[in-house]
Amino acid sequence: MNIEVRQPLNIEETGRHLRDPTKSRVLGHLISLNGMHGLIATDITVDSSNDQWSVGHLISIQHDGARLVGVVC
Amino acid sequence: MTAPDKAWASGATNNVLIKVELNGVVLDDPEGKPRFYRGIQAYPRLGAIAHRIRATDLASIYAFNGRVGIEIGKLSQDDRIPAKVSVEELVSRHFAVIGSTGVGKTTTVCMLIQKILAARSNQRVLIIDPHNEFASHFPDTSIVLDSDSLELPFWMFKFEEMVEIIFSGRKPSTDETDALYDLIKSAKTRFSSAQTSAPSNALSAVRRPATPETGNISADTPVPYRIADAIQVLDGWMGKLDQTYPLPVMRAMKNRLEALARDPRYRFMFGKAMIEDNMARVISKIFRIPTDDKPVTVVQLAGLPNEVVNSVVSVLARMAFDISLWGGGGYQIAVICEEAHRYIPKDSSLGFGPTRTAIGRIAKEGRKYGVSLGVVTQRPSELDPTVVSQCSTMFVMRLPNEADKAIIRSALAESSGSIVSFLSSLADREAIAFGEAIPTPMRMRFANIVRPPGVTPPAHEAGAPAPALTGADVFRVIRRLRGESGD
Repeated sequence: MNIEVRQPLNIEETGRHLRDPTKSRVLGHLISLNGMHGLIATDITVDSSNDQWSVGHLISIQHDGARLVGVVC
Repeated sequence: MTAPDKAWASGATNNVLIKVELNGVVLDDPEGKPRFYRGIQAYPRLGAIAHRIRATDLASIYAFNGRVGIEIGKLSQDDRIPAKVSVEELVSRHFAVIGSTGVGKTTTVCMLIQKILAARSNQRVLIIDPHNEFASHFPDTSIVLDSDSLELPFWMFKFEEMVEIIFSGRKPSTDETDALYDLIKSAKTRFSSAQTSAPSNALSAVRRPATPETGNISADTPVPYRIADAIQVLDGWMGKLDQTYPLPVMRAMKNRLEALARDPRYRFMFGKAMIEDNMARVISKIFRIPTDDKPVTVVQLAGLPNEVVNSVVSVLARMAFDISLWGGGGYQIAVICEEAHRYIPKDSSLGFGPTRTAIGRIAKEGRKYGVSLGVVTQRPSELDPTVVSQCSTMFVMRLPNEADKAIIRSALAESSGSIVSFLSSLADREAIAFGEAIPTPMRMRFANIVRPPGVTPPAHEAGAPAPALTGADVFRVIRRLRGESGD
């Protein structure tokens, strides 16, 4: 069994591991917003990595220079 | 999360709608470092891009902008990011560990205690352990008080606590209550008077350094008295023609007192050493003053008679508060209350009033004096809501019961309420943590407990079956039933 050993995250590395140019960080688009709750439309294929949509995970929504943080529920 | 077409095409692209709950914003400071702020200051437009969160943004959310945090595990979303809590906030404002049976509450609490002790050198911890399962986690840093080693003289119990023991938890009649009050007061006064009238006895003077004037003694005053004196007083009352209390009441009380004094299971209360004024030694031992490198006290309740457990918890909680109160801020103790719903139930007709009062007082006022509460329960819906609301930090593990989840939902900020929906699907040792000691609610997995070298985990944790009972063990069980010490 192969176990991948990952090194502790260095905050200063500005998310290099998530900036894989072959992997787009765009997940979907906001289509509805009601107070604190939003609805995001996205396309998912079976072979794509969809673990970001696991319940309880955080995603961010771009808004001007800010990144709004939301939890998948 | 839904597929609007109500269908799924394997191998093709499917449109999916994802519901998210917004709970904050990340902004870059002038130096370009991301900083997380709770709440939404400006809302995004429709069509705004949702993307995977940057690792640095994630780290900034759970960073402690200037505060000292200790690592207690890793985020579930990214196991390279430490899950941290502020020990100061955790201890000073009470905390709760909630989860159903078998999810790892005990191990989690032990790990938290280890972290607290590592961060606060002057911290003491008193663990109320109803199932005798904490001691093995602190082999070098704790003293274990069980039915053999606990010393809690009966005269240190307040009147209400003695009522619970004398009448085995039933509600006594007015005659019974009045008779017991008068009896205890008379026995205390008699003992104090005898001590005062023998000042030449140097040992007596040492043993009784601060007995109040006999006129100031009440049934609640923690000064010694003898059961023999109490029985003599009862005999005197019963011999009178004009009896203050009904004869059956006094006779039953005498029989009960004699039975308690002889019962080996009550040796921790009525043993011979309990007659002298050893209050300072008892307090020093239980509450670790000084600590002697053992800041943890584990009080194992499983071997104590059932009818006395509530009173013992009441005495311990009450004294922890009083020591902190009168200690002038120089004494910090955390009272860890396992199976808290047993002692502070929601239904005020259940449980034991003085225990509820003592623990409730710690919950409400304890942080002012340095005494804090760690509530551990599997049934938050059965817990006194006042105590739940006083717990500023919560670690909620797997929790399938809807009534219990409703309690958690009410404790969460509105913007984080949706995380309750997946409480029933958390893995073992995984938790939702939120509150004052944590920057923002997080889904996390607790770190493993650090055991000293050579210390093996308990059999039930290691997954090993307990050794089968043998014939010799039956005699050991019988000895325990008869209250004979030793294994």
